[in-house]
Formats: sequence, C-alpha cells, structure tokens
Amino acid sequence: MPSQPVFRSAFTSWQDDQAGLGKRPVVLDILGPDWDTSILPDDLKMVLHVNPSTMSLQYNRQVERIQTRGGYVEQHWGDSTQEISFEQATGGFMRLTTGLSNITNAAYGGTRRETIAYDKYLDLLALFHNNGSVYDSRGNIVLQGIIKITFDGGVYLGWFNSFTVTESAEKPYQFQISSAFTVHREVANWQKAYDTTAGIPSGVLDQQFGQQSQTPVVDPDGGG
Amino acid sequence: MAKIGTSPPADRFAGIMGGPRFVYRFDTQDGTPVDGTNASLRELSPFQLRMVIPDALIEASYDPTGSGVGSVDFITSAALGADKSALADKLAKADSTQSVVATGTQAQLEQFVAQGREGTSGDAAFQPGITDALTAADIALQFQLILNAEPLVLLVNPTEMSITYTKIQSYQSRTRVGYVFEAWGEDQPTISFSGTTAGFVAGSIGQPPSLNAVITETNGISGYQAAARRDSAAWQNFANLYQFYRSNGYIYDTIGKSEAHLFIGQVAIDYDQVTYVGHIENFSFSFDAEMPHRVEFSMEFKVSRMYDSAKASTNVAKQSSSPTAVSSSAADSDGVMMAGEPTVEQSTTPLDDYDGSMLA
Repeated sequence: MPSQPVFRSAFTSWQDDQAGLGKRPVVLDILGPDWDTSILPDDLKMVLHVNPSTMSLQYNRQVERIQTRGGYVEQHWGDSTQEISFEQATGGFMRLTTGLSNITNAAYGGTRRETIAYDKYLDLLALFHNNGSVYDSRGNIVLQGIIKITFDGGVYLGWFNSFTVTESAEKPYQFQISSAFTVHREVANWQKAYDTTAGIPSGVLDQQFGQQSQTPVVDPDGGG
Repeated sequence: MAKIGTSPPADRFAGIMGGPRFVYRFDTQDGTPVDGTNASLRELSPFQLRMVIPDALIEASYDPTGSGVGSVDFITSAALGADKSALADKLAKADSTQSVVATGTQAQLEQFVAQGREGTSGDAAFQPGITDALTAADIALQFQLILNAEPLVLLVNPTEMSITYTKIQSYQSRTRVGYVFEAWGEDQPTISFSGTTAGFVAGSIGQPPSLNAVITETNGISGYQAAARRDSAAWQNFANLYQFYRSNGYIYDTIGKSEAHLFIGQVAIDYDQVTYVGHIENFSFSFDAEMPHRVEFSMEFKVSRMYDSAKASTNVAKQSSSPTAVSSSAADSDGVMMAGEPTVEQSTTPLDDYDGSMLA
C-alpha cells in the first residue's frame, strides 16, 4: 500500500492497455510537422483522468446527384470529412482531506484547481490550443503538425475543431466537455483469429459460425 | 440567513453610462433590501465582474518619463501629437487651459458636461460650447466613473457557464489527393452564462414588531413576493449586472447622444482564478408567471484576453510514464496491485511499434 494516501486517475499510463489491467485509455499525442514524429517525450503520451463517456464517429460520402431528363447522374467524389465527437466529464474535483471541492477562492487555502481532474482538464485544454500547430513569436501558425488519438486499436490523425467546457449547477464538482475532431487519416488495428498466409484452418469457421458457414469473414489476402 | 440592510447600495454604479438609448434613475425606496442568499458560499466561490478602462486611455495616461502622474488630459496630447494644424493647436490650447478637464473633480466634470459650456472665464478667444473641450470632459468623467467603479459580485453564481473554444481552420478544399488542411489560429472564446437572481425579498423599515403585534400596514413593500422586486437586494444586484451589460466598458458620447463611441473599454470576469477580459455580447432575461419571485437570465461574453492567476499546484503529481513508475509499492490506480498482474515490461507488443508499423 502507498505510504500516504493519494488519489489516482483511472489510468496509470498511456500503456495501460498493454499492461493487462483491463483498461483501455484514450491516448492523445501530438505529432510534429512531419505528421509522424511525436513532439512529446518518448515515454509520455496524454491520457485523461477518465475516458470520454461518448466517442461518436461520423463518416460521410461526398456524392453529388444531378437530375436529368434521362434520370439521375451520380458523381462520386470519395470520402467527405470524417468527424469524431467527444462527450466527457472531467471527473470529480476531489481533494485529500476535504473531499469534493467547488471552492474557487484561493484565499481559503485550497481550491478545486488542486485536483487531478482539474489538472487533467487543463492539460486537455492546452492540447486543444496547441492542436499540433507551431507558432511564431507573433502567434501566427508557421508549421502544422497533427493530433494522434489512439483508442483500443484505432488510430485517428487529425485536428480538434472546437472545445466546449460547461460548468453546471446540475452536475456540480466537475465540468462537462464536448469537443469535435476532424479526422484526416484513420488506421484500424483489428484482430484476426487465424493466420491468413496459411489459409483458413479447417473447421475454424465451422466452429465459430456453425456447419453452414462456407465463406471467410475477412479477406484472406490480408486487407487489414 | 437573510441579512437586512447589508447588501451593497443599488446605486453604487450610478453615473455609469448605458448608451444613448438607455436612461435610468433611482427612486428612494420605503423599505430596505434583504439579502437572503448564503454569503459564505459566495466567499468560497465568488463570481465577480469589473470594468476595465479602454487600452487607449491607459496608454494616454501612461507616463514613461516619470515626470509625474499620468494625466487624463489625453485629448490634449493626442491633438498635439497627431495634428500640428492651427485648428488642432487651438483645440489643444483650449484643453490645456481648461483646468476642469485636466484636474477637475467628478462633480466639476459632471457640472461641466451638464452645462454644455466652459465654466471658467478662460481665454477670451474661446466661446462657450467648444465641442472638443466638452468631449474631453465627457471622456474624463466617464473615465473616472469606470476607474472608480467597484467590482460586482453576483449574489448567486450563474447556474451554468459554458466556454467554447473554436479553431479557425478549414478541411474543405479538395485536391486530387484529398483534402487540404488550412489553419489560421483560434477564434475568440465565447462564454455562455445562464443564471437566476435570488428571491425578491424586501423588508420594512423600523423596529421589528413583537410576536404579538398584528401588523395591518407596513411602511413599504416587504416580504418575499413579486411586488418586492425593485426593493430587493436580488433585483438590485441583477440591475447592477444589467448596468455592466449596458456599459460594457464603453466611453459613450453623452453630449451628442450618438452611437459613435468615444472609446471602447472592456468588462472583466474573475472566476476560478481566471480573469476573462472582453465584452458582454448579449443579455436576456424574462419575467415568468411560473416563477414570479425571481428572474432567470442568460448572457454571452466574448473573450478578448484571458489571464490565469492560479499558482502551480503541488498537490497533483505529474503523469507517470508507465504503469510501473509507481510500482515501488506495487500500487495500481486503485492503490493496490493484485499479485500476478503484468506490468508493461512484460508486454510483448509496445504500442509505438504497434502503431508505427501501421502508419508506415
């Protein structure tokens, strides 16, 4: 046991999902202008105090449909923008010895700002402000990096568009945060149950999907 | 515990201008305002607004040479510095000899502006009603009022406060290889507030009646009722907030009654050790039959500058870089690590490689 009482975040590290703890944090990283190299220290990525409560991914096709006298003409332009919407709470502003705190007046010795939840919120806000941009001394953007969000095998590269923090009397001792993220590139790391180079072992699909299954559920050429 | 007669006076922002389309006055109430809110909660988490004088006036009154205290007689220096024409010289001379502008008290300035003419027998070349001398006095008066305005602490904190940060960027321009990302920085944050006044409570003046006394008539409106609205500390505090919206820190043209503001000051909000300096963009409230004893309001504030005055916290440790960084006591996030739980060193697939191979 620790020698003195401490509060800990839900996540110990950005590598929690590798530690067999049953935790899968949303990990945020900032890549530099080459959109490949992290500008954070090698062994440090950002994790939240608590994961977002909602992470909604929206995909759209860009298709233009034109009505003609001979029917519709469809022009397919590929993918439209891809967005991720996050809804999350900061977690409770919990201080040792005093418990949940909503004190904001520093004259009283300790405030809610001295909590992990608030500290993590400020970290996330700082990451939003940064957004991968490299600024000159006058505040103009001179180079643009990219934000990398990793969650449970999914990697999303893009930029935050908006960030809204709400303090409400109906949900005291915490902030509600909603943010929107535009995805530039997505990398999905999926699991597979068999070696695609060796073909499908006989009986695997039958075991999983019953005797009637005759069709592989993934591309055996390794499309993943 | 309700407090009678201890709330700040309703007219403490008297004189603060609200623009050419807004006039206010104060009647003397028969009773006394009652603050029924919890003052200790307000002490623990005050929500405060202040008026900030225009930046241009700060610069004008700045005295870099250290020759003396900065003067509010900035119109003189502005005229001298900006234009050397004969007219400008005359106006500058008019201002510089018009002592009431440079050194006048608030009462003198008010009188000067109200009279619309010079109150002293100065240079015979000057005729009464010189516009720029009046304007200078008008500015100086409002400058003093804003400078001397005390902060406003809301009796009841807003029920909701929502800050929105928005990037100015585009991911819409298509090329043959996909979209192009264009970034121009960040928009000014917008803060949305919604809140409620406290209940409308007023008290009658005089000695409190004995328990046996039967009161048939009071000297004024009293009690917790809609009729006590204007007499209540809750409404008077809210009216102060409304005054802040009307003023917005502007220096109005009170002589010409035009919408051409002479200077643009700002409003500052102090909350949670952060100061937001900007302007109240809109303000709304409603009288509702379903809640006659209070009023709900909402407003939006556009932030120009933000200052975080909090000291670095020593109570929050830095994020550890790995699950084993705190493992001297074998503790996990719950404080206890179960025997046999793998650490990151035991993991066979570091996340970096895991991602990197896919990105390559």
